[in-house]
Amino acid sequence: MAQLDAQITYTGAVTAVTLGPPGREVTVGGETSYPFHLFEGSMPHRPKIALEVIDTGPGEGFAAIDSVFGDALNDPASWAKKAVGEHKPDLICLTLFGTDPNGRDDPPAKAVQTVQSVLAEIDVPLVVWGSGNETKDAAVLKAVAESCQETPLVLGPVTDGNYKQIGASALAYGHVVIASSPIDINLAKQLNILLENLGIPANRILIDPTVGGLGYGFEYTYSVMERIRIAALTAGDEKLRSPLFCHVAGEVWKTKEARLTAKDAPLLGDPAVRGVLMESMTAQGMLLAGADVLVLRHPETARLMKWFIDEMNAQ
Amino acid sequence: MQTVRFLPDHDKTTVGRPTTILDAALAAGIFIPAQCGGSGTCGKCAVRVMGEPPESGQSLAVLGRERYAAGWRLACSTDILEDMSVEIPAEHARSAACPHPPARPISAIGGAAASEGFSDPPCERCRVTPAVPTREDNTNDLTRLVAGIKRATGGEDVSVSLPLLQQIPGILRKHNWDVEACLAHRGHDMRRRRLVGICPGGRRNPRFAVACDIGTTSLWASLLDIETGREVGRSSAMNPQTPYGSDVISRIVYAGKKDGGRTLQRIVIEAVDGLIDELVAAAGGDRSAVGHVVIAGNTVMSHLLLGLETKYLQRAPYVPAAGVYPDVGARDLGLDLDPEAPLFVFPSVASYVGGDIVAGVLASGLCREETVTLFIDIGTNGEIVLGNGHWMLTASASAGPAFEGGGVRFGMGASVGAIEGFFIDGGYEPMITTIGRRPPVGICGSGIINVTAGLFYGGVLLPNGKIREGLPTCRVRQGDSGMEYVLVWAADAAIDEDIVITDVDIENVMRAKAALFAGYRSLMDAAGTGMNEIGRVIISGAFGNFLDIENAVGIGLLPDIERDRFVFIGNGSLAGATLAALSRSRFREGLEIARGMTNVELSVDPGYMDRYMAAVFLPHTDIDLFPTVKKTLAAYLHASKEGTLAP
Ligand code: FES
Repeated sequence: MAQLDAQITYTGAVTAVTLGPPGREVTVGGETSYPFHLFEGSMPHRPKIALEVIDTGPGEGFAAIDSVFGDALNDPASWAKKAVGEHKPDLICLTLFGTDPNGRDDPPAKAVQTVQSVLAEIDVPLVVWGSGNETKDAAVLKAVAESCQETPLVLGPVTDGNYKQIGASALAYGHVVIASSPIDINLAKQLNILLENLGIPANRILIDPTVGGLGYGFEYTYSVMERIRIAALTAGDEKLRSPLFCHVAGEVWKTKEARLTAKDAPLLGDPAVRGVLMESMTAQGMLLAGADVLVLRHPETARLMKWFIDEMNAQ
Repeated sequence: MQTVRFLPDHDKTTVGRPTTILDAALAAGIFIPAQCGGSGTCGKCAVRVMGEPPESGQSLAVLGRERYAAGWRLACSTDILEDMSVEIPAEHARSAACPHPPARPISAIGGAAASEGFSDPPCERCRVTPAVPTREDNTNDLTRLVAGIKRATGGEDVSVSLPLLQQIPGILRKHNWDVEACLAHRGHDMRRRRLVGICPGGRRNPRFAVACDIGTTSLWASLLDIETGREVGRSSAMNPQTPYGSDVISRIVYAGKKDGGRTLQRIVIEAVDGLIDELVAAAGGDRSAVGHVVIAGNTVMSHLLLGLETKYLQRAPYVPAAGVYPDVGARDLGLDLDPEAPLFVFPSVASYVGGDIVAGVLASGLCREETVTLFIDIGTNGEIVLGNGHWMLTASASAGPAFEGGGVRFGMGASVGAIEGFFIDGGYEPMITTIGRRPPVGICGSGIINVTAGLFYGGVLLPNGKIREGLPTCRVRQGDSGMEYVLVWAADAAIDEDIVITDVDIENVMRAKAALFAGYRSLMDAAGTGMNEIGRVIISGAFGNFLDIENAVGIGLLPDIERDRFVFIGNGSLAGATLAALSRSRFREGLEIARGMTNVELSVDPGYMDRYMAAVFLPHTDIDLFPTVKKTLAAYLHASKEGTLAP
């Protein structure tokens, strides 16, 4: 059989972005070819895994997580400490659901406290993820950015509606921002242009294309990520060269399939592995589409993904 | 040809025709803080004219004897009659802070229309004196009449309707076999003729024809002198159907209600009748002087006018009742004209590509050329045509009424008092001119383009179309619908409130321009035509007296190609209707255009939405599509203190 010679001409590379404070930093991005196309280019920094910690605990119905972290789940700092100590993620992602005005409505000061308490317990870079309420996130992440002038953080989600407030303080205090747009390549690019106009250097921006979980729009995210990479690597689009950040955990674990008990859904299999598999399937797809940072909730998913990344890199 | 030099730091500007200092400055991109639209009331546009300043009563009245004597004049009320030097007060010289590309206004050329002197109107009249029947020659009346017509005019056979036939024997005898026959040309080749009426012989031929454009938002009518081909008068009105729905979809919905269609038909006919009345009266004639009417409108408007079912236009697979409409007696439709005056409606191509666009293409001459031309109708329906004499692709992008003044809080039609010219200085103060130089009332379509571009280049608008918060000016403030920019303070306006443009207005403008841009990009992709292969861009639209190309490109509405390729024909639909009203061969050309067009349905084009999202940005997500805009913005970036576009 004749050899298939499909040479791709790459004209760009993904921007390398360094996360976290010097000494504990982690670098992502830098790819010069499509994901894992190591025969065409290089992937100087393997995709990184962040384990998620939630300020309000995981909520009801997460038997799978409960059994791993136990009581530590009641306190974000202990949760983070245990996650780092036992499961060795590259980063921790602290999700601040508690600040949601439609929920507990924690004031920014409380969020700052939580962030500080988590920082004190970990030696890996920290992603601080807001509740998703644009207005509140602006206040919360701004306060967090100000209070952590010594420790560069990764802040998100930064949107079209709050990029000015969050962007300005991230710029002033040296944090990295996660530009979040709703599964659309043009909107992703527009937000990057706005952030750049604000003066944020390209090596301080990650793109969050918004993850659709398995069965919940996964394919849309996949193809948008694919298009972003094509634009960045082969079409010379400088505005789309940021590494991709995928908050897989938040999307997968909120689905009802991830939390139904065996009694309620006998046909869906063992709940102890069901959620992990859903998270893994989604995460693996995202990796193949070009994810540089994955946020995962279950340490078992993290283990599987690490193994997968290693296998893909094995020569 | 005079020149004017603006001091302290601008070069000479040459002005072609007599114009005011303000207009010359606006065209040169030089800032003078005109705040009352150039109506001579605000006194803010005062400049000092060196040497011997021309007289200006308004300047004397507003500025006072002392300043007047010192050479101060209102820029808006002072004409440039000879070469002059004008000093702009130092505090305004900061305009250099935002490099604004000099305006490139092009005036509507109104199509090739009139003056061509046609002699073949679609409706023809002839005096017929058939032989009186005798015992020897007892041929029937109709044959006699038709033979007489053929004798008088030559040409093909003539058909007749039963209702008219019912009257023929009586009329012939009543008028002693001396009658005038009125024939409408019809059919795809305009060769078939139908007898539409007969009246007593020896009557004067009608002097006028009426051309009419029925737009979704506004109606336009032209009164034409059939003999000379000249336009005698032009008038416009709001489409009275607007309260029943601002777009075609809501009109269709209304037409589906009980008696809805009939109501919409009646009121639009009444409105057209009103326009004709007004025009005929102004020309000093009466209605009997109108011989025929030609109407161009989009498919929905044409259907509603003719009382055709519109329901299926809106449902997939979007099928119109007809493409070529039968001609009809104007009176049968309810117009108060002579019984024999026929009414012709321009043919449509598809549900959303109608007779208005066919007429526009006819007027533009696109179909007679080799050059690949892009034709854009900047209206609510945003029809687009790409092609030349050999092929034509069409599409309709629902742009919404923003460029006709709809969906914009202070939007209005292109009438007196509408803000048209606009830009701002480094301190975010505006320079405003209005149509007719009257105190401002609102903003017309071309004004909306200029305001959007002016605010963007001036640093008030972010590329996502949002007004920047926290600017050091009281003109930017929080309003009831988000942020707003005050264009005119109530004190300088003709209305009792501040005239503003809001975030929501700009959002509508962004959507409109994105829909159009994505529309023509889709056609270009379908045809495999690159930006630089477009030899000509014809812009049609009844949205103002002139269009500033630089600004329309600046906001990403028009493609960034050489500026001398743009032609603005004003209301193309009306111009096409005018041609057809004067010449049946042009009408036939219209029929050929409609037949030759291939419609591309954007709603089923998978790439359209993507192109649209990319275009909802100033000027566009892909700045490389707008190289000159990129350069201007880079210059601005360089000039601004922070080195960034937005804090
Ligand atoms: S007086 Fe000239 S613009 Fe107001």
